[in-house]
Amino acid sequence: MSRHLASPDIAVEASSVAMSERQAGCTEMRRAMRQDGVKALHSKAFRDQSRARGLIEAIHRFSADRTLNLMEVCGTHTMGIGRYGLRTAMPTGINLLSGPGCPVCVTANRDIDRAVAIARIDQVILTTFGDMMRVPGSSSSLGAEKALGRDVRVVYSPLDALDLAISHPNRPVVFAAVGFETTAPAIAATILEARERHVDNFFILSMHKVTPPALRSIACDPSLRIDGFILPGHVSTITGVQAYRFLADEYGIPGVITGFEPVDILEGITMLIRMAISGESDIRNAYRRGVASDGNLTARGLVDKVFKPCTTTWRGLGELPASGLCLRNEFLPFDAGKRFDITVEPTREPAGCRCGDILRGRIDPESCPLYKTICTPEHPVGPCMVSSEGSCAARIRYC
Amino acid sequence: MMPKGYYRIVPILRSIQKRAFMCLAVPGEIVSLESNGHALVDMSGVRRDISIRLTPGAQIGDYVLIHAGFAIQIIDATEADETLRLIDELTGSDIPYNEPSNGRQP
Repeated sequence: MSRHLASPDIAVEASSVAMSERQAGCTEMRRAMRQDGVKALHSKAFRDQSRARGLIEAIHRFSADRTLNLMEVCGTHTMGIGRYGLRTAMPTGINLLSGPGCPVCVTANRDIDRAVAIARIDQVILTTFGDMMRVPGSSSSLGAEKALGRDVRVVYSPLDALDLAISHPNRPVVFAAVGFETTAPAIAATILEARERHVDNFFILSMHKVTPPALRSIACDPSLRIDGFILPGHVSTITGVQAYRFLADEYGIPGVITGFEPVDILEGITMLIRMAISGESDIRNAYRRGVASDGNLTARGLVDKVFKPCTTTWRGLGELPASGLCLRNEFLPFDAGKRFDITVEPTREPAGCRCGDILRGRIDPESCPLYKTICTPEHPVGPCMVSSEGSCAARIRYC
Repeated sequence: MMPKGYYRIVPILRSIQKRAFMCLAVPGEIVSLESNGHALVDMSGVRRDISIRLTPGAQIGDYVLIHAGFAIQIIDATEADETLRLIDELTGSDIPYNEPSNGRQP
């Protein structure tokens, strides 16, 4: 064996000995112990080409010319499948569909209009996540309002919005809160912090949604035939595995909780194909390093404390019971909808845009007459093209 | 003196901040625990103050998934190893997962 091949092992051993001699502290030991696994976690192992190739071969072997519709319901999966070119690596029978996984895309026009109406109120600072800025409502968007001189700001964390409220005590600061289960705990914790710190000029406009009702709506749609769900990794980090059990038990559709690196996604697809072919319906977890089977109980506890389920409207799926999160009565002082008396303009959908059908997986972006003709990333017509996680934007960018 | 890789990663983080991909969570290592449930994390060389209110058990040296300024889960390194082992069993490959990048096949 050449020296070149043998050297890495020796180097690893030498560096770990040196490390334990140099820093005998418990923290360092612990870090050294974890280092290997975590390094492997992100940079190399889950992006390894040979491992990915092995899984693609396994997918071709297992699928055996069967036709299967697999749907992912997470914007980051939409992006990942596009970025790593996984759609083209699939056998012809395996269709990877994009479902309602992009929170910005599923936000109804009326909710955008409400945020716009609040941004137009004098003195208000409206804060939100970056993806929301360009999403068109009926006649305007938050970005367009900013261009007109309204105080609309992009924040990375709801805590930044709270800091803004603390540093501007005389102005109401509203956080337009979009997102699924992953984001809701962050908002809940921020509201609790606002209450603890007696901040009375911080409000949220809750447009939160939870994923299981949307999956149920898709699972029982007779016009769609879904053979398996690629379940969202970071939503499951909070919800755990049980939240999706109904898909297998009630509808007989298997699901695999999947991570976001190429090897993660391919492994999820492989597990799903094996289950679909053998007629098994189960919910499995292929992202165990980030998803415990119970999820994050602390985070769920905070969400339960602050929010209660309520009916909300999804673009493409319509009104779904218990699919949204509204503030509980004791937290109503933080509700921007209660604080401001706003008149929302009549809702108008963009003419010809088929974002709703694309979100349901009924049609491909290419089947929309506007796609790449008058609807482009530079001049988007609907939210599926606006959001970087939207199916149309991802398709144009990576295909 | 900025840590190695700082200037390379800053534009990436800025773009993450601007676009704020919705359910994207990035890994970071807890460097120190601050008062009132906050911690300083190192994300590939960039340090940021985050809240660990959602992961009260997080300790210095833990790797956490960070979303919107909050740690949402402690990453389980043993599960990562186990997942890789299962994949390699399935594909019949025997790639050591901590091999150096120069040893990778094209």
